[in-house]
Amino acid sequence: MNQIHKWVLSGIIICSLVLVANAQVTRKNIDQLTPEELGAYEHAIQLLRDRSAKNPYLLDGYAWQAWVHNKNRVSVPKKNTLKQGKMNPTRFYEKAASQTYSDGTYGYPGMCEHGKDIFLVWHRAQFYYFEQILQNTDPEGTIVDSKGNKYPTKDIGVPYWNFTQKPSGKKFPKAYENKKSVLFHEGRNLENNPEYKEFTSPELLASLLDEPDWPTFGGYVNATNGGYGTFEAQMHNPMHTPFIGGDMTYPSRAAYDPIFYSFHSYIDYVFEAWIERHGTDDITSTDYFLRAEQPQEFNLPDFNPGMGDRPNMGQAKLYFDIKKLGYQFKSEPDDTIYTKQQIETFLQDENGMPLELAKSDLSPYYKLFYEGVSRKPEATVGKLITNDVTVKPASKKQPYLYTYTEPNASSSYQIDLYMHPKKVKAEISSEKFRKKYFVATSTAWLDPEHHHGSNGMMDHKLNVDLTKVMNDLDKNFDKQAFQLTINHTKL
Amino acid sequence: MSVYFDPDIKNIFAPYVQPMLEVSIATDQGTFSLDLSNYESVCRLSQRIKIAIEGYMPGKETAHPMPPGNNPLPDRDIQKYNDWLDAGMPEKEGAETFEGVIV
Repeated sequence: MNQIHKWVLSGIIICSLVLVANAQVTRKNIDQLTPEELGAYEHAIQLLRDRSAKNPYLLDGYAWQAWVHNKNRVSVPKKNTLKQGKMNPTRFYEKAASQTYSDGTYGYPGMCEHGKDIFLVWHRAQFYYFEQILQNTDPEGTIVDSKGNKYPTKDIGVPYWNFTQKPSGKKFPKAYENKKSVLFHEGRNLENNPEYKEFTSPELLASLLDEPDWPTFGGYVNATNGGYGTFEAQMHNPMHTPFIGGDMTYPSRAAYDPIFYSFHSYIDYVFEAWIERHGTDDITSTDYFLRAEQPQEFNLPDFNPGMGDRPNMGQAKLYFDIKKLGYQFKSEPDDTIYTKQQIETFLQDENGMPLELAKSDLSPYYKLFYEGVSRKPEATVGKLITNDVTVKPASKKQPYLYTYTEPNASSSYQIDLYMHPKKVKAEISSEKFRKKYFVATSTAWLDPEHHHGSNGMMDHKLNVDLTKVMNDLDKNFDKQAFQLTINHTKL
Repeated sequence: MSVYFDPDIKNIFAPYVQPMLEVSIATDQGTFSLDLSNYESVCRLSQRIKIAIEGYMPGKETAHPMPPGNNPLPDRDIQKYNDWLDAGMPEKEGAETFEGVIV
């Protein structure tokens, strides 16, 4: 092959790569969007809201897409006459969802999967459709929305909010605090606890991502063993409530707030980071069908609805390769996940020695969860539970799991866990005690108005894997009598 | 004494028909409605119903026990349901047993 042929061939290959790359949209950190990119995202969201204002039952409108997160069933009229007019959008969507039409049929928008192993992939599937809908609202930028804007939307990737970093606004990304923007949403905890900024740390995130065991990180099969994986219970849930608040407090209303989408876009970034580290072989329930009624024109090429009579987004296994889903992430330096070495260094004292649980004045777990963030363990004594424990080694085969059962669970709650020698009295109100003996916190995100179609409350379980904690203790306190003290508080 | 879907099992489930119709049941075979008043529907999801109604028993916990509200079925009803499964899920006296797919 002569040199000219090589150049031509190289040019073809490069062009092909560019075309492939262009087929992928890019999900960027929302603070790094250009004005045009942010304008396009706002324009697409506004068009979705405009659609729902005229007909809330359109599958590609904002209301329906929010309902996908948690309205099991809505009555859909033969011909819609319900209009938003000057009504607040959230109130209008709730009103539309609660109507019963004698001439209508039932639609089944969706049921978010929480507290189980398909939590992360269900939300990824939800976002796949949402992103396709956004891109197709106004691909070439020819439609003027109700705010008078028009931008091409074909390249939109849902921007992510890295909530482990200092916010660009008071508590949230600036784009979400601009009261003139469609991204602004009344009711968030913007003014409450203004000192709360970063709520969960990048060190905690890196530590959680280091966990190779899928159920521990990503959730348990069929919600057994308490259901939640560590990421959901220790980062996702407390961000919904108490940090963000407003409609994000409740699973059945969370997606009415547009920040839901940037919040979960980052959660998908984290999911992808786990897959990059550990692969997909150990992920469970990959054949499960993901409940939701979505516009069928966006079904993936390999979509197969299975044999049921209710709508779905196909099987979980369709959603593990993000290239096939048409997007990629662009991370900024601050978005880089810390390495194991960086975390080990972080968990040292001022003399460069590793912090030791129940020996050092600062528990390594306290530092991991709370250093550099405004979140702290609850200092008020709530319902206290104690368990006697004899320190001994634990392993994956013989883990040390604590499962808390909330009777008649009706709303979100938190448990903070402390492991201390039995002879040391649990003094939750003492900061010194909390700092020395803290080992974990876990949050249940529940909805008082919604029980997945049931008409009553039920027991709720929250599990915490303390295997590593037990092994840490075993280094210095083998066979000694300890006590696990749990401080339970309502959120 | 033989146990039949109609009236034995149907009567046990009668109070829960409407709330369960709102829910879609996700499985590795597809997503399904559950009409507790319908023979075919109950047979198709019979093993999942078994898990749900036994969900309050010690050591048999499930995420979504049935009926909801910490209000388990009486043991005799659970036993009756299990007897019905063991008998091949007959619909009524003289009728053929279910031959469809159980998911």
